[in-house]
Amino acid sequence: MFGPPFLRVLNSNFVHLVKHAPKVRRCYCLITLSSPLAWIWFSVSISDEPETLYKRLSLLVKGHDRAVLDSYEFFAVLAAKELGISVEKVHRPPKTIERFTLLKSVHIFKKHRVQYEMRTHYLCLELKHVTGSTAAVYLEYVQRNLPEGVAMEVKKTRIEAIPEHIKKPVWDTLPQVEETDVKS
Amino acid sequence: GPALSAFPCTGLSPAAPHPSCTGKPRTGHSTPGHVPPRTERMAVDQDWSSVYPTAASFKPASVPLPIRMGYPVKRGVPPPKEGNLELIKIPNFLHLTPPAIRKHCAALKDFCTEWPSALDSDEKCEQHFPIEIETVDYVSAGTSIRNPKARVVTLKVKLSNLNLDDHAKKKIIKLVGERYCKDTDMLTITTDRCPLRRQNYDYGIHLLTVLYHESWKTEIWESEKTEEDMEEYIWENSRSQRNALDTLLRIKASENITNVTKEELLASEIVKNYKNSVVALKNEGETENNMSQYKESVKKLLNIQA
Repeated sequence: MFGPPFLRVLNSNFVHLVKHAPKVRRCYCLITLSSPLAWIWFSVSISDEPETLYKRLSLLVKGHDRAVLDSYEFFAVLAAKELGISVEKVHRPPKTIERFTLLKSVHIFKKHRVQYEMRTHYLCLELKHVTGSTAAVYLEYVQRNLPEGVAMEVKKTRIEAIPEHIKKPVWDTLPQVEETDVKS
Repeated sequence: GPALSAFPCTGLSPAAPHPSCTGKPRTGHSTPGHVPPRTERMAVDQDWSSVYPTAASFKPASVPLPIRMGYPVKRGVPPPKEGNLELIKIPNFLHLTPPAIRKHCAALKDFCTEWPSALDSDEKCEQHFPIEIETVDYVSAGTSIRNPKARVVTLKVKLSNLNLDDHAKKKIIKLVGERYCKDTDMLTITTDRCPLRRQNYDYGIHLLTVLYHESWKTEIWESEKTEEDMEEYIWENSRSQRNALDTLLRIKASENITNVTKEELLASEIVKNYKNSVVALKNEGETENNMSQYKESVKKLLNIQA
């Protein structure tokens, strides 16, 4: 790694500053050399948009092989710990098996069939209280290292303040309009 | 000349090469085709992340582990790692050893931000940020990275966090119907009618705005609300109140006490007890407590000593 990342200053104060908390935008470029990849940071820039807040990030990882999911769980949990994300729960929903029966032969021989099955193992990681930048970084890292043949569904629960136009009913501020007859 | 300069022949004329130099190209090894694997030259404390920096298939000559994998031969052991297809097929995590993960995370840490320390509990999150928006992302291998289920957006908000008065709250519950859950006081709006996620989110917010403002309006026809439309039982001006007052007045008339007014009767303890028990029965359903309370109040009302 070369190129100094610029340190960013974070206000850790309350709500009104949370709304203006800096969102870190990454600018980096991946350059493939003849030997393995080299990452070059350009800079860590801070933008002025308010940070999105995720109350919960639920990762459901699906695969055909239990051992692969176990290794992936070790990797994802360690990565979350290193990046400072609190892991609420890690559990394994029961596997599902989809079975179907086909005819063994191309033509006739109805009595001779062959049966196939597809086993899907699941792994559910629940992460709590993640900011938008951290979520983007963690999810990209974890998804880039997703092994072949493994799928992932990420359920994000974002929390937002009530928008300005829902704070008060608008009828108080509108000028009085004469009631016209409603044509039925 | 330059072509023969690769041969370590010195002091000889280029026209007559050294006898040990044959016309065949040099392999540099004693046995033809045998290269000692890289594992023999690996130190125990080497930097493994430079051997496997990225995801790569299993190379038996680069992994210094005596792994055996596969179905064992008869009365034997699983096959060794050389030329083992099972080891090549399965995805390996050799590029994600704990030191490598720590290195990656140390580099990525600069791009992360911390969760605000003031929002440490769920209650505080709900107090300041009451609206929850759920979206789902899908990652899988296939011909296309798009998933049509990814455009669904679900908005959840507790009605107690919105600025609603009594009439507005009842009206909004009637407007949304099934989308409101009484036990958790949660309004859930699921939108998927637009092709993009951002459009669905905007539509969800638009729906919430319209519902909010419409519930504050009072239409002319809302005054025709009948008893069947009421959400909860109100005792004032109901049949039960009329019947109870009628009965009490007739009892008083039969005892020849005519100077009792309706307001006096309504304010008396007996009638208040009866009213409470009837309201509890209608709103909360029939429980042991409610039924016994009703029995006591009726007995007092009709002056029956059981």
